[in-house]
Amino acid sequence: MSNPAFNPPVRFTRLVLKVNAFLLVALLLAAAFLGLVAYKQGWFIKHTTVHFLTPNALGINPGMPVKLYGFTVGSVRELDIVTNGVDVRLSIMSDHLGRIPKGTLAKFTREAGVIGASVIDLIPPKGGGQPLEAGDRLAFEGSRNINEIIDDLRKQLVPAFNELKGVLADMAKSKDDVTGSLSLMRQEMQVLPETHAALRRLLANTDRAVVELSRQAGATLKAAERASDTAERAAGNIERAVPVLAGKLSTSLDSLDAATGQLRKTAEEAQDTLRRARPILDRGETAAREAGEVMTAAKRVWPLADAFKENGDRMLAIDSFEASPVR
Amino acid sequence: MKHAFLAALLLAGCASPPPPAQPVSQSRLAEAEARAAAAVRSGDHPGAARFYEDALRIAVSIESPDAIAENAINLSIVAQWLGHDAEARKALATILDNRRAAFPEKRLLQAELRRAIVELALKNPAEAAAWAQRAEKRCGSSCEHAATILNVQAQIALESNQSREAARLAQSAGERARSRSDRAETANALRTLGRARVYLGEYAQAIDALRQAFAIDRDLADPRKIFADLTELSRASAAAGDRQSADDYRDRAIAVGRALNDGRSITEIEAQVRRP
Repeated sequence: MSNPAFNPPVRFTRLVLKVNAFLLVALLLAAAFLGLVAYKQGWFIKHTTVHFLTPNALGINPGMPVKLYGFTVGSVRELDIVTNGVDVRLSIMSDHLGRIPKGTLAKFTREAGVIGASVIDLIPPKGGGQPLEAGDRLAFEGSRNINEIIDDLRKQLVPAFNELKGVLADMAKSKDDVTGSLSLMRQEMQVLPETHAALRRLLANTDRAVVELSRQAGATLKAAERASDTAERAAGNIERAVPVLAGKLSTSLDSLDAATGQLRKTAEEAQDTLRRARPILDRGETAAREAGEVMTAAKRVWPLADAFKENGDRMLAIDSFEASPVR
Repeated sequence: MKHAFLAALLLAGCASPPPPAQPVSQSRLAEAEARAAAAVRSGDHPGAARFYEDALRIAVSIESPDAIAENAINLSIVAQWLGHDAEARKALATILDNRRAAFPEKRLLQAELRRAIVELALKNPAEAAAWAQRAEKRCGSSCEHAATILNVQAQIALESNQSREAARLAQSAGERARSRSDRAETANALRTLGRARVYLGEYAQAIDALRQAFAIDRDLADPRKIFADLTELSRASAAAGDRQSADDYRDRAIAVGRALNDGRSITEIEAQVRRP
């Protein structure tokens, strides 16, 4: 019995070549995938390592973003325990190194105030300087704990409350003055129409007196024989009118002067109160803005997000404009 | 194994029972309301009216007083936007003529106020005054609609040729609206005050008030109100003898009216602007 010669099936001709081609394509695809991953991960970007020392590395993890002006410029590369603390190495993209001068402070912070992702924020010194070089050491400021935040808030609020207390005390003290001023002002305001009327009467009287004087003078010229008598009468009239007119004018001016004085005083008091209230308003505005930021951040955090689902009002606004003839 | 069991136990602790399933009618009602609101936001007023009608029908079918009132009021508002004042009144009758359902006080107040607005739009100042008075009584001294009620009353006074009273009410409405930072009603009050001042012959003050209303409405970017402000400014300037400003405001009003594209013809818009 002899073994028949092995004849590979026709369909497997050039099998080795086909297998090799398949393997080559697979290898190329795997390499392209790895290349893409490496590109996306930034492995082709040149990085420079700088570092800082911290007494404890609580909250700092490898991979944590390092930001400059809110823009990610690198990440935390590794942490090593050393004597008296932890050495934290930061991997910074070399392209951005020119914008980070020596003396830059690395600060552990959160993106949205108290709540939010932790980052290392780079704060360059004012005035700039020489750019960082590989291996440089940065100054570091750790995160504030909740007690420090509350203490800071208290420090900010205490002067505001003291000022508020002062203003309230001043208002309490000047309560009678304010009431008195308002009362006087009201009285003066009530008198103003009378003063106005008196002034108008005065002007009318003066006008009449001038007309009378003119008429009398004309008569004097026409009747020479009665000149002395008429002149005497005219002089007598003027003599009687002038003190009366002067008295009315003086009273009116006094009233106006008093009213103006009161108004000025009230305006000064109001201005002073506003000046005192200004810092409180400013601080209140800042506190409200910060509280708003904290709430916005809290709304984004997963465990709290459900508690802030917005409940939109389904009612359309009732607008009196719809009654308007021009719609 | 023990750790896996503990982990599973921990996860079970985090789990919560599923919320109870909403009845079909309730979900259909919510869907119709949501669609109507979306149509309003996109400016599709006929679509909004259809969805509010659907929502109202569903609300009536499940006897939900709050939902009935809410959708009837919304339907009346949209009907007025479409220029169908009579249909707006009919929608409000669902609430105001219904003696059986116990509607919340707030909804009754809103319906009465809306009825006053619709009656005034239908040129029935006496009816409008009666409904406004009912709303005012229900509102008390400081409800959220106090400024709107005063504005409606000011317009009623103006329609009844009581310009001095209209000015007084509009001023009160403006103060009330400002205290609630309600800019829309503040502008409405200033517009009515301006109209009242024109009737009183106080043209400078009228133009000042109307300009303030115009500034607010432009901030609010409400084209219908901008159109109304420009129209009133044109009339006030003409009454004050400033022909050039009157023409300028009139041309701007016509341009805004054309851009509104709300179904009115150009002739109608021009006639409304030129109306004395």
